Amino acid sequence: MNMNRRQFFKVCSAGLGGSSIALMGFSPNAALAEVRTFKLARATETRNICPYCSVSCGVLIYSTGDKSKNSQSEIIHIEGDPDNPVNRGTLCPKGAGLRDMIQSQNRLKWPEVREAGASEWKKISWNEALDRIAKHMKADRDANFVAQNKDGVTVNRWTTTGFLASSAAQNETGYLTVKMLRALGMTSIDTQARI
Amino acid sequence: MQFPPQSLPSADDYPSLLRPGTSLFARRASRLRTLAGSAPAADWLNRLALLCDAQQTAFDALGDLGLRLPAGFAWQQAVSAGREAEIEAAWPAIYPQLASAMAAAGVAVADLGSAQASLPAVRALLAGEAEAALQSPTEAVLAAALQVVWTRFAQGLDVPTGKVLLAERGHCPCCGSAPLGSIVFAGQGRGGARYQECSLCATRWNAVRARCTLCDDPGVVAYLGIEDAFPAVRAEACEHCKGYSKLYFQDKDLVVEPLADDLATLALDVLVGEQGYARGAPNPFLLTG
Ligand code: SF4
Ligand SMILES: [Zn+2]
Ligand SMILES: [Zn+2]
Repeated sequence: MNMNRRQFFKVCSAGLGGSSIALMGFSPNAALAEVRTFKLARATETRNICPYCSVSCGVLIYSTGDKSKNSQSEIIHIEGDPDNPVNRGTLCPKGAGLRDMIQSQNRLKWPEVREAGASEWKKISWNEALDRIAKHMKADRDANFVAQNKDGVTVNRWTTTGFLASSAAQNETGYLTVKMLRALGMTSIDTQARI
Repeated sequence: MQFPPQSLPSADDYPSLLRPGTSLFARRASRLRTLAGSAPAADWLNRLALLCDAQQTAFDALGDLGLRLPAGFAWQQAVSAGREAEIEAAWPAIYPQLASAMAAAGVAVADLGSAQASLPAVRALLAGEAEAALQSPTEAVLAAALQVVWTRFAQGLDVPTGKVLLAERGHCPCCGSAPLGSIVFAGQGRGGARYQECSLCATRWNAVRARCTLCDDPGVVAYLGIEDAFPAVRAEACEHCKGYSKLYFQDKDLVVEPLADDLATLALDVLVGEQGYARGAPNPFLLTG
């Protein structure tokens, strides 16, 4: 894109008080007094993908709050992304209610674990959760990995653990997911984008 | 029993380009009058409405320029490239008509001969290369005359009704000028789609939402609006280039008109400017100095 030539300028109250614009009938005093009665509202707009189902509709998320200050940002509105070729701005009722899910009191916001024999869920950190998962995977793979089948043919497969990938994963993420899991010999790989 | 045909949303594909309508200037005039209502700058908006009326009269009288898209045109450059003189031949005849409409409204502007001196400034502004808005009513009227001929040219073009790959999205694919802002459509089909509008010929071209149109940085953009006023108008501000341009949302006001609504919401420009952002979109009727 050739943006090199594009110039920027400021529309300031001094400029609006200038004689040229006044010649055209612009009355600076009243207009500038009005400016001072207004308050600026700020929101940001970002893209994301509805996490609910295989359609993986694109959404635009509006949030308030200024990241540079210490204000808490809050999602105020979610709508279909008109530029996403999958849904062209439309959402099904589940997707249209996405904001309620995000702000739900019952929403799971961190990893939790219920130890064997315990009745309570316990909050753990993401690092602890990932370590636990890795240990479980290794233990299960060590115990159940099949290098050769009964006829002595090399198969290198691990069939006792499965993996469900996110529907929001792009091609690149999908490629890396499969490459990683196949390297471990995992055969049961699926994605939320197929469910 | 017959059911209406149904299609998936993904089958909807809106056109890359929309050419201006034949009543563009009349719509601008009527929108300016509506916005003038009780606005503090009512006199100014009403005078500009008269200028738009005169533009519409001149546009209607001008008729089709008879210029067409070259066969197999690839959109690798503006359609007008190399044909500017041919396209602009009519502006000197239009300028005096607009000038006399302004004189009748109490705004004196220079005669055709002296107005020529303003051409470089007007061209720089429309190209998006000026470091300030236009400075004099003469320049604004000159730009208005150019708008009439260029809009005629754009209106006569058979632009494709589907997707075309535009070489460049920062400038008008028809005339190469800078956009004055973007409209976001409401309703079936094109709902939510953003189109930039050319400050000169009013051609509209599709641009992705939630992305800075001034520098194309993929970072997060901020939307700045005025609390409890002008709900259809937002400034899209970018942290990367510190620039902004305005968006006009049809779903908040169905008759929103980028050029007219821009002029009625200069308060937003003042407030956004105070936040440290600079405007990257020209409007030839905005004067400073
Ligand atoms: S909006 Fe509906 S159809 Fe689209 S991904 Fe979400 S749940 Fe699926
Ligand atoms: Zn143009
Ligand atoms: Zn930018």
